Amino acid sequence: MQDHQIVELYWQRDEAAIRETETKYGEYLLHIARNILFDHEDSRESVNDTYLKAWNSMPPYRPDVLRAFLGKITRQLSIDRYRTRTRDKRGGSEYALSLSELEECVSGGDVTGRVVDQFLLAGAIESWLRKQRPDTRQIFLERYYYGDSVAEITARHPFTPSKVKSILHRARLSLREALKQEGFDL
Amino acid sequence: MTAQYLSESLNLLSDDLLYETDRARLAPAKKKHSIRNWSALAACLCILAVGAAVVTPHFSPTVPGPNTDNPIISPGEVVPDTPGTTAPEVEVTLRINTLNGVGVADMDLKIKHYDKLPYDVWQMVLAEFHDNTDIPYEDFTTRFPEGWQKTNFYSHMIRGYKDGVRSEEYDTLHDYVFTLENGDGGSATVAICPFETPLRDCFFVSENPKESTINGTPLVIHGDSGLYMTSFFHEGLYYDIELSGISKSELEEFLVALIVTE
Repeated sequence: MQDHQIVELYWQRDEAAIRETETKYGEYLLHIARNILFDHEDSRESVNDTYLKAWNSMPPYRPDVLRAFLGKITRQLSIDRYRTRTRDKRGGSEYALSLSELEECVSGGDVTGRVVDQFLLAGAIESWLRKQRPDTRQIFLERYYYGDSVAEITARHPFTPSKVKSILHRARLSLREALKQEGFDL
Repeated sequence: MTAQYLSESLNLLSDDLLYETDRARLAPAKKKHSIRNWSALAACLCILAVGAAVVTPHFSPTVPGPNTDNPIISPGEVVPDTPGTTAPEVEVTLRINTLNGVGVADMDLKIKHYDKLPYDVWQMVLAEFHDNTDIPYEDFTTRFPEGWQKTNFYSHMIRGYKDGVRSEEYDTLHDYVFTLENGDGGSATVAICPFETPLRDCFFVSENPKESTINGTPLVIHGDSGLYMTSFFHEGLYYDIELSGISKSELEEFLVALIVTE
């Protein structure tokens, strides 16, 4: 079923919307959740919560890219669940590893996390991303948005694992520089 | 700034960026160490970059106009007290006041719609809703009773003041407004405002209107014959609600669902 047809089911409050979403995107969403949570049960719950959130969002929302819309919900729910887990349960996920890599970009100092500031930060990151080569941009997002492992990324690109790690390392340094120039307090 | 904060901000990136990466993730794996294959990949990526989806909203909701179809209810006797019909643990006393007249008021406002926004801007709207009302959007919308579906969500924007000078722009949010339908001919408009009664283009004239209560929350209800209007203050929000095509018991059910949240 096409995305716009699935969205229409949500708007008509037809519960087939959930079934169609699960059929088309269930595995994709589970992959995102598992990359962050590393635990199958927790990941399943995040995906189920995604369906509920999607149901409550449409209407009035009508996403143009349903896949990205659902993926963002799952990612945020999974990160929220990850944050509430104990330190012992966090380890092992690719997300935990990717976070430790991203620490190169920041100082680690506490931040009050105002929503508007986060939007400004996202805008700056997006601006930086759009200036990167396509493969750098995609590898960066595969690693730090989707939480894919270096092995998974390597399998999709014509690079060796060392090359992928090198691309990620240079990207992190470049992002850090770009954010500093934008005036962000890292 | 922490790595976690940085990572979470990636959730606010534009959909077209993620779409491009998604397409690449779904493509078959590429062979390695071959200049010809690397060139082919670069060509594919260029095509993907050029063909990345551009967000084109296509939904055009009906723009809600000012409320001009309130009938003037003929003066009559005040409807006697109606004991609540909800579960015993909820104390409800409904007193429906018949209108003696309706006055028209001029509203200087603009309507701001939220249905054509990219996902990241929509998240900003939800965050602002939470900041303004102290209730998460999802928590608030789950209060609507079962059977009622949201059909629209928008804001009333007014011209605010800065340093005593009125702005030229309609840049100050006054009310959030939800419209709902129950699929049975019933419709509702729920307006909320954190600092004063939501704006309304008509006001009701009735002498000494009787007060209703729902679990201690006082409210004044006007109406008859399936059309009801009420306004009240509850848990930090001013409400203005209009319902039509419903029975008195459906009115009670609707109001109880909004007020009794535990």
